[in-house]
Amino acid sequence: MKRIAEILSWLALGITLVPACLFFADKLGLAQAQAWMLGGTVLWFIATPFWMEHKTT
Amino acid sequence: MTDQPHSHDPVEEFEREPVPQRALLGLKSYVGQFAGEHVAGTELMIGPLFLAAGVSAFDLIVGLIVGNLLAVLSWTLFTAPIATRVRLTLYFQLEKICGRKLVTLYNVANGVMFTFLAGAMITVSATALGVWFKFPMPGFGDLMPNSLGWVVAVLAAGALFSFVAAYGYKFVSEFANMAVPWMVVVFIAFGIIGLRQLGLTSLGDFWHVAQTVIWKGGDPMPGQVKFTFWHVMFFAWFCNMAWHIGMADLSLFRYAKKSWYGVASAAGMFIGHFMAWIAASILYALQLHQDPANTAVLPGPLAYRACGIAGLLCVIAAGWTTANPTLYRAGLAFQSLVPSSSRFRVTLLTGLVASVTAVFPLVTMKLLDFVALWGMILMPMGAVIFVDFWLLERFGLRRNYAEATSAAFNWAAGLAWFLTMAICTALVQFAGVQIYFVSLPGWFVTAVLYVVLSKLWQKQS
Repeated sequence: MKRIAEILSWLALGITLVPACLFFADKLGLAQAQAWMLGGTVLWFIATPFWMEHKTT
Repeated sequence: MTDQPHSHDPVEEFEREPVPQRALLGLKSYVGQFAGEHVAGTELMIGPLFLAAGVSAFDLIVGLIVGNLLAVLSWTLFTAPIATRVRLTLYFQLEKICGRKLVTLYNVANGVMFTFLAGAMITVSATALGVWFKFPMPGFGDLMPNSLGWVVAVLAAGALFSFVAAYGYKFVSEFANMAVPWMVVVFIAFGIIGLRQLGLTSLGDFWHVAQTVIWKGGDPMPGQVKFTFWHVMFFAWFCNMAWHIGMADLSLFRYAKKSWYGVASAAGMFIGHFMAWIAASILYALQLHQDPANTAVLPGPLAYRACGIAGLLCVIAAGWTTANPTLYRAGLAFQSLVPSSSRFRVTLLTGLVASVTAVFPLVTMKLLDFVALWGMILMPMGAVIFVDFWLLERFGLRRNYAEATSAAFNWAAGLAWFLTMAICTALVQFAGVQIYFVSLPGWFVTAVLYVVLSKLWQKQS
């Protein structure tokens, strides 16, 4: 479970950053990029507490 | 910037004893900590303010590289070598040299600066609320609030931050650790999206766009000082002066296994004080490019235009997660005046004062000057520690004089501090030296004064 959460967190960072790159490359509109970034943000804050908190402890 | 106090809180604090071997930390801890702690809400103000100061592309980029490198060297060559030899907190080390009463005075100065800085972070977060609730927000250079909505938003955010700092510091500290990687990614996205909107289509054209569209140089905006390479370099070097040359990070590096771990500060400098400042600056350039009349430096709208709601959340998180430890440390500093007082109440009260200062965007709009002033005020104590540790015995004088004589106030250190501040203030007010540069000569003034005054004071005693 922890491992899956960690993978999802890395995925979330990708979902936050890649749309910005795609916007830069004219492959994605700004509104779409922003929507993906919000999705990545939500996923990050859902997945990360499962492993990062554990790691800290 | 640093802008924020380090939140390194191991289980055992070793507040009045050297850190033992078993508690030492490796390089990785420091890299992570610096990387996390220098992506603060205030970075979103500093980047735009550089642009408002009419900086050119070369001066900004090269000035930041050199200045940040000097900051890293300061941590590595000034702070960490002493920290890893004595392994004491700043306060205990200062108490040995200066005596308890002078340390208390230092605490008050530190607490006041922390309070204003926390106020600036509350202001930054409140600009995100302005995007949602659409109330008028202060324009560029405004020193007074300009709408009831702004006052209510700032006070609400400030009250919330203060309550959490007083009550749930640990929770926000954990949240902050969790948010950092995401915030770094959003800052990178700010830069990428901003550059594309400014017309950059290929990375090969970056330098051309940087020079002709983003950092064009020329006159600064009204009320701003023109920034050259030297301004940028000294600002980047000295914006965390209280922490490296000022020695506040003795408390942090006393856990380091090796003194060269000071190089870990590069992670904070080149993510927070290079990438994040540049990204924030690009967002402001975009705003000016789209509407030259809109000169307001408001991180909320800037972030929203580039990254939408994720950008707004980043502004709130960056402000909140850094205001929180700042308020907590300010509360601790003030609590040291009356140790029997409740930390909860002191922190709450400190937070409310910070919230009131946040209503007036004075500190935020003058953040570059405020940060330089902070360094100038606290730097002399770092010079005192440096001279006391490395030089005093070479002059036949006694180190840790307050401890050796049970003095509560070492006048040699106290006068060196006060006179340096007076001389630096006079240089700024009457000799035309800008505040960004005055701390460098100030350090040497303190060093000489401390040696001379110690000779007089120790002979007399």
